[in-house]
Amino acid sequence: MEPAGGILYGLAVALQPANLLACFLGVFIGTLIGVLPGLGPVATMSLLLPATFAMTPTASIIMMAGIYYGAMYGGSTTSILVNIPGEAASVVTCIDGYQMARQGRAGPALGIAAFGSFIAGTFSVVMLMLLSPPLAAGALRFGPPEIFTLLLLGFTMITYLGSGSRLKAVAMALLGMFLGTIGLDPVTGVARYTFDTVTLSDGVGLVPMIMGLFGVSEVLLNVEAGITQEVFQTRIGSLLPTRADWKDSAGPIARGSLLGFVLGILPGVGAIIPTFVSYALEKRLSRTPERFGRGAIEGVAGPESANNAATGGSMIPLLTLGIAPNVVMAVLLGAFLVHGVQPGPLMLREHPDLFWGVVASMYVGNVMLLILNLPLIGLWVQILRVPYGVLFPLILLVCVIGVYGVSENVWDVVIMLGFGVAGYLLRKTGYEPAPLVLAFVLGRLAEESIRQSLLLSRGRLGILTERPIAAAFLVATAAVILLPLALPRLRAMLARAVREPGN
Amino acid sequence: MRDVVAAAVLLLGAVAALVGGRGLPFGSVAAPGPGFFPRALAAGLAGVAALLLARALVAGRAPATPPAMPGARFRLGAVVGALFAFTAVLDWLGFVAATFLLMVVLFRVVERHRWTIVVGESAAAAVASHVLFKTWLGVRLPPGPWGF
Repeated sequence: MEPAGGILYGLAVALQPANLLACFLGVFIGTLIGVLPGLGPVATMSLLLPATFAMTPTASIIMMAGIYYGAMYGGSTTSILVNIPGEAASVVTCIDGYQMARQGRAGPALGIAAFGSFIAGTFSVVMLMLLSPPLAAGALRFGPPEIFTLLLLGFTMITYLGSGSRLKAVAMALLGMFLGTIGLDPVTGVARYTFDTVTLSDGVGLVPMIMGLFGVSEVLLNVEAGITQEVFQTRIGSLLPTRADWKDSAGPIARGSLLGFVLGILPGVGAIIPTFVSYALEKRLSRTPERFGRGAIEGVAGPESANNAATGGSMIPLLTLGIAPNVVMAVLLGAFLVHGVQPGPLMLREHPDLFWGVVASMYVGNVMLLILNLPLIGLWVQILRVPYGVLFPLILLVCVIGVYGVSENVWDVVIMLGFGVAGYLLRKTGYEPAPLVLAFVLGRLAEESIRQSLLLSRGRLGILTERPIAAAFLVATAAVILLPLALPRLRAMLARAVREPGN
Repeated sequence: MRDVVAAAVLLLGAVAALVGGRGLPFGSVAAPGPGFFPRALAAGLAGVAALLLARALVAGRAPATPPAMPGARFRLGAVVGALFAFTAVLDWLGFVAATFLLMVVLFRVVERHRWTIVVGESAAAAVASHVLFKTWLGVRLPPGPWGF
């Protein structure tokens, strides 16, 4: 199906009343949890997974995707008004957004965040629509060696692109991969580290792990810090940015959209890193970089566009290859599998209604968010006034119900609490939980694909270098490892060459 | 000090995984067995943890972290303890009763709300979550001896 025909078909699917309702629920819940600190899209999507069992696969994926990009919209509201990022991809927005609010410009800050998100979100859906069919066709040539080398590239990115210490990220990735091996061996069925328990023979559950590491640990950190949110007492005023604001923001929105989309496709990147890159880029390109950190609208427009564009980009590896490039997509992958759909190159042919319906729903959802967000900001502000002392017991309760609901096994709740305490301690000591979860998800697939590759080649590792696509991924992996090592030397060499033109 | 303890715990965990996985057949690089990946990963983790430990020991004493809020440790301990106690009684007491007790502890012990408010908000949370998740969304929650 051509993209134009596909999107028309998708719109017909997305505009069915049940799917429209699912889309609305998704973006509404997404914005709400984006506003609430301590409950991000990952925990919410895992939580609502059991509630989608009664829905059609298309409606449930539409709702799940809506939660993700809805949270990107909602996260900016808390960053700007309270200086607390509602979720991690809005950390950068705090810097200039909150300063703008303090200067009485909360309205334009919220407005440009919403418009930028809308433009970037729409751009990334168009690109997703145009790129997915040819990529899915190419992905049909992927066998276990290609999958394994692509995952190898993913692991390298996970550890190289994190925000903290690289060695700690490597430790977390190794730990995640190790936890992924718990359960029955995929080839021989031998029990590994199950301690003869039924709960662990299926492996460590992704939902308890995510809810513990992201939901519970966040609450524990907030309870310890005793956060008291103070909503900045200001008239929000007109949300529409002025002509000058638009002039300043046009470039950052365009660059943020492109950057977020391209980076979002890469495994291990997610929606957080593009926001930092966009902020740094805008500051560097600006003629007045000193305004950054003091309420520059470019510092809101760029990163907010980047995180929304990344949501569309990160759908590409999932929909065309069946590989989750980040933690949110891992949960979405789980949602597909629960409904008996294997995302990947064949999905476009086997479930065109699902593929095009979800893509088209993202257009619809972006329009809904723009309409929903601007008039509802007053409501979000009211929600922010609910004291954390009332909010956190409810967030914990929701985590417990979510985990129990998936398996009806109280031991999974215990596992979640274990991960919650571990996540708290890890964050206190500067270890990021995200590489752990991503490596946990990708690790299982990596083990399966390398063992299948070796079976195919009768034990020859050469199979990884002989096939052109696999070899290309290996070269890219080597480049990711070597570039950061080589760059400073290269720069020093160039600087020397400039200083000593005679040489 | 924190870095030293964190790295040491990771190292101990990795060594325990290596020892615990001795019984799993290792195979070879050409034909990996069930024990190949977990043991190789545990060995890798042990190596990285040892490096982190060495680095933390060389770096010595980190600048003192700002003191936590008064009572922060107690609040944290109460939350974690209440949650583990909740899992112990959930199947036995049923969802509504266990949730009510959990909320009482969190609102009263951790947040110091007044008793009258505590009972009201705890009952509201227990009943509302039961209606929302069990009745409307169809999540199966343990009924306990009361049958609901």
